[in-house]
Amino acid sequence: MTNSAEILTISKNTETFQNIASILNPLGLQNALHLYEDETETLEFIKENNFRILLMDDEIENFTLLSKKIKSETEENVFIILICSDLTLNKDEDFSGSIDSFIQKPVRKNVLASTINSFLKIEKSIDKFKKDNKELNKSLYQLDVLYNTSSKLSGNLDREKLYEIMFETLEKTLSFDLACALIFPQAFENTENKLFIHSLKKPDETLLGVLKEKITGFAKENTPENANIDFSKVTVEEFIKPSYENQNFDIKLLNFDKLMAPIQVKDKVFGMLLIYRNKPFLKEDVVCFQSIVHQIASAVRAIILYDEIKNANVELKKLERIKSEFVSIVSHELRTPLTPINLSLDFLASENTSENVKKAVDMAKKNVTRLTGMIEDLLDLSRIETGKFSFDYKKYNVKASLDLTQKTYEEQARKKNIEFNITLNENLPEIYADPKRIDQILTNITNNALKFTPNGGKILIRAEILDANEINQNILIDPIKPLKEHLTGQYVHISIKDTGLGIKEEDIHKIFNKFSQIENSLTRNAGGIGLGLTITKNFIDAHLGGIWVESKENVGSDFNIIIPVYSEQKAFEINLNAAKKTNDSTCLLTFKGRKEEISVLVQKLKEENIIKQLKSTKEAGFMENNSTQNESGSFIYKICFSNLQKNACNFMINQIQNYISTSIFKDCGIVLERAFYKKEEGDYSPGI
Amino acid sequence: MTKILIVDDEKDIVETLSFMLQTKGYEIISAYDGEEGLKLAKEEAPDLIILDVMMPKINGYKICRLLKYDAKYKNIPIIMVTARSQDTDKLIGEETGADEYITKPFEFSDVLEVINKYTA
Repeated sequence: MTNSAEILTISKNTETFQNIASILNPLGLQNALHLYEDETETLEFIKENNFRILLMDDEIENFTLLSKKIKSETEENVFIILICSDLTLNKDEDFSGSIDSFIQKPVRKNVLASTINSFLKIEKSIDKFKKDNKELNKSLYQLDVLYNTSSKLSGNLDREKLYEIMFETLEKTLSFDLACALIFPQAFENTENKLFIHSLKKPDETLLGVLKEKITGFAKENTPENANIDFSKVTVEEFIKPSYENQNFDIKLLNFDKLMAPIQVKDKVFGMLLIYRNKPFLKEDVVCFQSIVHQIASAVRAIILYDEIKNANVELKKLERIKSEFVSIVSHELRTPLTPINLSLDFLASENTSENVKKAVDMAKKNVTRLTGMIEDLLDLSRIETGKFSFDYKKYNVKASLDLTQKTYEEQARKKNIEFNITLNENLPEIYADPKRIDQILTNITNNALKFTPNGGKILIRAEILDANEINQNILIDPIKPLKEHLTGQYVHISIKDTGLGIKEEDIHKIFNKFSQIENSLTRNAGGIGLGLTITKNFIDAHLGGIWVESKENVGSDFNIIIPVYSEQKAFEINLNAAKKTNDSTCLLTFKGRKEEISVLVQKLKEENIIKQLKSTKEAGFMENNSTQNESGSFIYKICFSNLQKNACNFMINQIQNYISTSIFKDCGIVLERAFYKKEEGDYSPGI
Repeated sequence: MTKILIVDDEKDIVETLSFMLQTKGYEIISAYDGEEGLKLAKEEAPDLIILDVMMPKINGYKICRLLKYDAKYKNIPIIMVTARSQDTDKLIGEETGADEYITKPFEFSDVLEVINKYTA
C-alpha cells in the first residue's frame, strides 16, 4: 500500500490529528495519519510508504529511539518534527540523529506551516542539485568517452576500424537502440555505398527498407549535386547484439526519438548517421552526438588526405624513376653515334692531310671527347638513381689513383703555369673501394680545380690518415653533419686545395646538387652540365665516406674527401649499403653471442641447408661478416640476403630459431635479429 | 688477305669500321644481328671476329660461347665490344672465352692494335 501523502502524523491522540489536519488541509498539503500502537507496526507502515515529513507526538513513549530507528530504516530520508508539550522539558537530551525540529503544543498554524514549507524548499533544492549532479556526471562520462575516442581516432588510418570506433562511442555515450550509418564510396574505398546497422534487435525487412530509404533520402538532400554518388547501390552490413536474439525491431522503431546528421567537413560529405532511442534524447545528448559526428568526419577526411598524399608520392617516385630511365635511354642513344664519329676522326687524323685539316680534326676530336664525358656523366647519374650502378669493391690503396691523377694533370697544369703538387703519407692504409670510382672522384675534383684556377695559381693534393674523433671535433662543415654520427674508426683523408675562383658562401651548400652549374650563370662559362660533383658525392656516399668544401670567393677552394679504412666490418657495411640500393629487397640477419658457438651454428645451418639453399639460388646474394664486439667478449655475425621475399625471409628465420631451440645451441644465449629493407620504400622493419 | 667478320646491330659502326679497315687492306664481311653473325662465322671461316654484346636475336656472349665450345671454330680470335666498362659485362665475357675486350666508344688505333695482335 502506498500513500500519496508526503506528510505523516503519528500520535496516540485523535485530538492531535484533528488539530494538525485543520491546519494542513487548508494549505493544500496531503496529510496521512497513523495511530500509534506499537513500534514494529509503525516502522512497517513507514517503510511501506514514502513519507518525507513525520510529525511525531511526544506522547509516544521512547519517541527518541523510535525516531532513530525510523531514520536508519529510511536512510535518513525523512524529516522528523516533534510535537511536544513543553520544549524546556527535554532540553538536555541529545536529539542528534533523531529529531530534526520541534513545535510546541498547542500547534500553531503559522509555526507548523513555515516549518514544513522551509523543509520542502530545502528538499526541492537538494533534488535539483542531485539531478544536476547526475547530469553533470553523465556529461563527464560522455566527455571522457569522447576524449578516448579522439585519441583512438588520432592514430588510426584504417577505415573499417574508424567506423567501429564510431559505433562503439555512440553506444557508450548515447546507448542507442539502433544506429545506422550510410558511408559513401570514397570514404570506404569502395564502389558502392555501405550501410552499417548496429542494433540491439534485428530490424525486420520492412523496417530495414524504410531505414534505407530514409537515410539515402537524407543523404541526397545533404550532398552537393556534383558529388556524383549513385545512391541506388547500397550494401548492408548488420551488427546485432546477441543478448536480444530472435527479437526484432519493427516499423514502430520509427516512433523512437532520433538524431540524424551528415558526416561532413565543410562542404565535403562522406556519409550520413542516424540513431534511434526509445528514451528521448536530451540537450546534452545532441551536443555529444554532434561532437562524435564531427570527430568522425575529420578522421575520415584525414584518412582520405593521407591516401591522396601517399598515392601522389608513389606517383612522384614512379615519375622520378621514369625520368631516370628516360635519361638512361636517351644518353645511350646519344652515345651510339659517337663511336663512328670518333672512328672517322681517328681515320682522318691518321691520313696524310694538310695542317689545317689536322687542326680541324683535332678540334672536332676534343669536342667529341667532351660530349662523350657529359653523356657518360648523365648515364652514370641515371644508373646511380635507378640503383643499376654496380661497384666493384676490393681492398685498395688510393696511392694508385693519386699517381694516375698526377700523370693525367701534370701536363695541363704546367701549360697553365700552375704549381701542381701531390704529397701523401707513404704508409696510407688500404680502403675498401671500387678503384675506377676513386679515379673518377679524384679526376672530377682535380679537373674542376684546374678549370677554376687562373694561370700561375696553385693546386695542392694531400692524403693522410684521420681518426673519426678528430673529424668529429675539428670539422664544422655543414654537409658532413648528418654523416658525423656514423663516423667510426679511421679514414683516409684527401684534400684538394686550389687558389681558384672559390665558391660564394651562399652557393656552397648547392654545389653537390644536380645541375648546380646551370643555376649559376657566373660559372656557366666554365662549361659542363654540373653533374660531376653530384656523381662524385654519390660515389663517396656509396663508399660510406664523406665530402665537404671549405671555400672563399677569389681565394680558393679546399675539397675534402674521407673514405673509411678497410676493415671486415666496414666492408660488410659498404656491401650491405650497396645491396639495399641495388636489390628490390634485402634481409639482414644478425647473430649475437660467443664467437665459437656462432661460427659452429652458422656452419651447421649451412650443412642443414637452412642457409645454403638460398645461396645456391641466383637471386639471393650472400654476404657475411665477422666482427668483434668490445663488450664482454660478445660477437656479432651478420648475413645479408638479397632479393629474398619477406615471407621466405621469415620462413628461414623460423627454421633457424627452430633449429636453435631443438639443438645443443638451445642454452647458448645466441640472439638472432632481423632487419628487412625494401628498395622502393627505403623503410625497414627491424626485430623478429 | 685477312678476313674479318664484324657483327654489330649499330649499322653506322659496322659501316665506318668496315670502310676504315678496308682502306688498311682487310677483307670485311658484316652482319647486323646475332643470328646472321653466327651463320657467317660458320660459313665464311673468318680470321677474326669483332662481336658486339648487345644484339637482337642472339647476344654476343652466346655466339662467343657457341663458337668457343665448338672444336671447329674455337681457334678464331674473338674481340668483344661492349658498352662502357660495366665490370659484370667483362666478367661474363671472360667466362665465355673471348680473346679480347674493348669498350665503346673506342679509338680506331685500339682496334688496329688488337687486330694486329691476333692476325700478325
